Amino acid sequence: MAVDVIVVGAGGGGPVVAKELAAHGLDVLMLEAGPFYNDLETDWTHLENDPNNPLTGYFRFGPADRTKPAWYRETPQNSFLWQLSGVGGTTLHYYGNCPRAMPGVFMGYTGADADNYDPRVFPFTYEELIPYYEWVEATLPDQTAAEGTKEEVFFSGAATLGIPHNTNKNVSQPSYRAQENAILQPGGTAGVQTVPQGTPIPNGTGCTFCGCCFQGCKEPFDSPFNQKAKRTTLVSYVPMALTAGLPNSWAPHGNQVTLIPNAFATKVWTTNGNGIPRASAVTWRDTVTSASTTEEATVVVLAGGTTENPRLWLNSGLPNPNGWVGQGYTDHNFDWLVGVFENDTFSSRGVGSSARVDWPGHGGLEQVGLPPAIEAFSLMFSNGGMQGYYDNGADDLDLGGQGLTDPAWDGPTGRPMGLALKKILSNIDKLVNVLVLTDDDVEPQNRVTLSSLNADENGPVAKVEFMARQAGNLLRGAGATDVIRMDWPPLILHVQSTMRMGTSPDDSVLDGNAKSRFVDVLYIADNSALANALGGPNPTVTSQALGHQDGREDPRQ
Amino acid sequence: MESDPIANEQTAHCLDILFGTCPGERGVHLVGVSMIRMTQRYGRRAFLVRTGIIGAAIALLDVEALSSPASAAGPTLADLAPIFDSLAEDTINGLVAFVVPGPDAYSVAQGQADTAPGGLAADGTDFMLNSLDNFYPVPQEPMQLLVQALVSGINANLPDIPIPPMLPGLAEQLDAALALLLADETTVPLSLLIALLLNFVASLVNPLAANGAFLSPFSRLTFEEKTAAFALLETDAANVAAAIDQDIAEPVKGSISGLIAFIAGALLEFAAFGCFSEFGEFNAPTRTLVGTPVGWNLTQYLAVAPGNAPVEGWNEFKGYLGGETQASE
Repeated sequence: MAVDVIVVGAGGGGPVVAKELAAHGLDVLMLEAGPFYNDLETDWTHLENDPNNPLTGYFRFGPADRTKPAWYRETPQNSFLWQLSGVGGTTLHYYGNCPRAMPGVFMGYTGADADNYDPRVFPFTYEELIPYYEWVEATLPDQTAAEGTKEEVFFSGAATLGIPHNTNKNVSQPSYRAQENAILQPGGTAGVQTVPQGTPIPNGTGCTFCGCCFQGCKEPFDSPFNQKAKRTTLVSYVPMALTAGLPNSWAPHGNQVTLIPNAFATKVWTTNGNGIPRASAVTWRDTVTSASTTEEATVVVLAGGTTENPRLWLNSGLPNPNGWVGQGYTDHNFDWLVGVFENDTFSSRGVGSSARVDWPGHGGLEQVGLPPAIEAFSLMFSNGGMQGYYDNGADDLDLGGQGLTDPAWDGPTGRPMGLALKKILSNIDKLVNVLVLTDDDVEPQNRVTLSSLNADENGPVAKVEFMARQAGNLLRGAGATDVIRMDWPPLILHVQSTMRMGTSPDDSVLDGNAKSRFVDVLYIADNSALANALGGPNPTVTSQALGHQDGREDPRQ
Repeated sequence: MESDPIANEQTAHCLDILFGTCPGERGVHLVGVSMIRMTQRYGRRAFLVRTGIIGAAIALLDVEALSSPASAAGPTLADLAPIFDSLAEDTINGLVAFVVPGPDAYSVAQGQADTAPGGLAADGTDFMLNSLDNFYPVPQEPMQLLVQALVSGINANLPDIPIPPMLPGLAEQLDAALALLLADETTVPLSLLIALLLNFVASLVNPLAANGAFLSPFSRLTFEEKTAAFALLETDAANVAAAIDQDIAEPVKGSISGLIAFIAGALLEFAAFGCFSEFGEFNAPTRTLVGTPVGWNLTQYLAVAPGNAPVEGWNEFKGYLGGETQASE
């Protein structure tokens, strides 16, 4: 018997739509390729290889059975695709950063810096999306982040850049601010005491400053599942979706969503529609038993992610008349600077990222705290060769390397090797990391195909250089004794726009309601639907706002 | 490793041929050199020397037993298979010591060592071997293209390399064993592929590395030579692919060179991650630690935490920027 809606993917976007449609009383089936973690204190550790080994960790893109290999992704260049499967998707390891998009990437923007943004804008105005931002900000909820030592250091440097402190959720000028994070801020005794492993915090709520956002948040230890500090969809939207329709629940007149984990969607079926094909069913493979199941649906919503949605679309033989399915594979052009300080920064403690700089038209900077293994990874990830040995061709951008020098950082860009690496890492709590997020334009040649993935190697260098210099100046302003710039290769982390919505049917897959232009009753509800790279801000909250927008009405109508 | 002026000249000549550093002369070199090359048989033997396979076999096989009348047929596959495992492990040892030097023999040999423990003490080699051989999802392409190049690669354009004396037929048997090991795409020992690649490039950087201490030519390089090996992998992967097999052509060369560039970066990143992680002190069945990981001691991570263990919370809340607890609309 057909269900009303099948949602493919229970990551950052799918559960938002599922929850909204469940509130309407629809019969919703949600599929997720990875496992469903429901005992976080047991399922997750505060280690590093255990969760984040991309081949064996519980936060990998692969089957729940960790004795089996991960699912392969081909990246034909020096790059890293950070993808994971599991209910909650990438929100399981994200830092909860929820900045709204830059107003300049929306239709109708008339600011003086309009030319600095991607001309492939959203097919509605920024003001039209704000009510949906407010909806998701209240539901998760998003809150203004508290600061620890590393944030105090970051802000002291930001203040030397000659830009103001922004206390508004919207960005209108270069400024610095505390992150708006999907993290319950510390309450009671949380954050003001050191709590041994495996110990509940008496009278504490919200963030405990444990420093383990990237390993999966289970804090406060032994707190109720839906009151964990970091608001992954696993602990926010998914519980709402699974409790809709229950007596005395948040939506007593709704309908409980059926969630099937370990279900890898392999085909979307269509029937003859009114001029275009009409989505009619989904087939999935049980990753534990390998059994295949097909279920009919009145409406299908794809939320499997920016890489998986086009793959499923193309594998299903769905139409792609303008070629834009899988095109526009867009990421923020990242770079990474590390400042070494004489005084404690406690970089391994507290929230992963609670401080940012926004620079409209260019991008932004984020302070990032890390534990040692991933910190070491970040210091080996470079297109700039090895410091003091080779620079991948100082004048040859085709090689990706630049061997760049500037007063804002020490030495050329590139990896510190051997004893130099050990020296930088000799005290993890005297470092401050700055992530450079640079706006990048949607370009058709960057695409997902069935056989390979080609990320952009030659992004807007001028924007990267501008923001990297600001990052170096910030660290120097904060008192760093050494500043290392890595010149990162593509880190495929904030990917978006492979199924983009747009103003023109010539270069978009979706209309302004995230509905496919080529297949009837087929919607997209994750980062792949975004029209562009948002001007630099982290994408998840905008996708979730679109999810609320998509789910505001009964799609059967 | 002592410097040999003749070898250095060979290296310079080799790199000259590979990368055309003499303007206008590259084609002349290639044509001229290929005209005076030896047979394909020599070329394949030279490849097995460059990748460390023949050297490891000579070091590990019981030549006396194999030379006896009872072993007239020569070593069996069962005799030869462990050679490849040992070569892979030895090569990864050299890589791990390169990324995180310590007081170990590999770090000392490369000329950059440390009194503090390094990657080998952190079980970095086991981390790499375990991940590469058991969990890396090997795709059809382009990995199989690289396998094919390594199984059949010959390059008559490379400078001569001394072929050590060995049992008759040993080189051919090793070649057959390698082909068999790499024949099944579902069980390709990725660590061996990595080892062959690193050792081959090591022989380009310093042909003298084909012989000496350790089993692996890569592990015999100095720290500076190891950086040069990675420079070749990262900056001229297409020519490294062409050096493995002179007959390789586009688009296969492009696919393999893209993979080589990816491997170079991933090896460094992955080794660093493993060496600074808890891997060496992790009890997998209980998912608990049996001691303080080397990387934690090196970085002073959790040094003041109760029991040096991860905590559920820190006393680290300092307040809100400007006292603002809620951003305005």
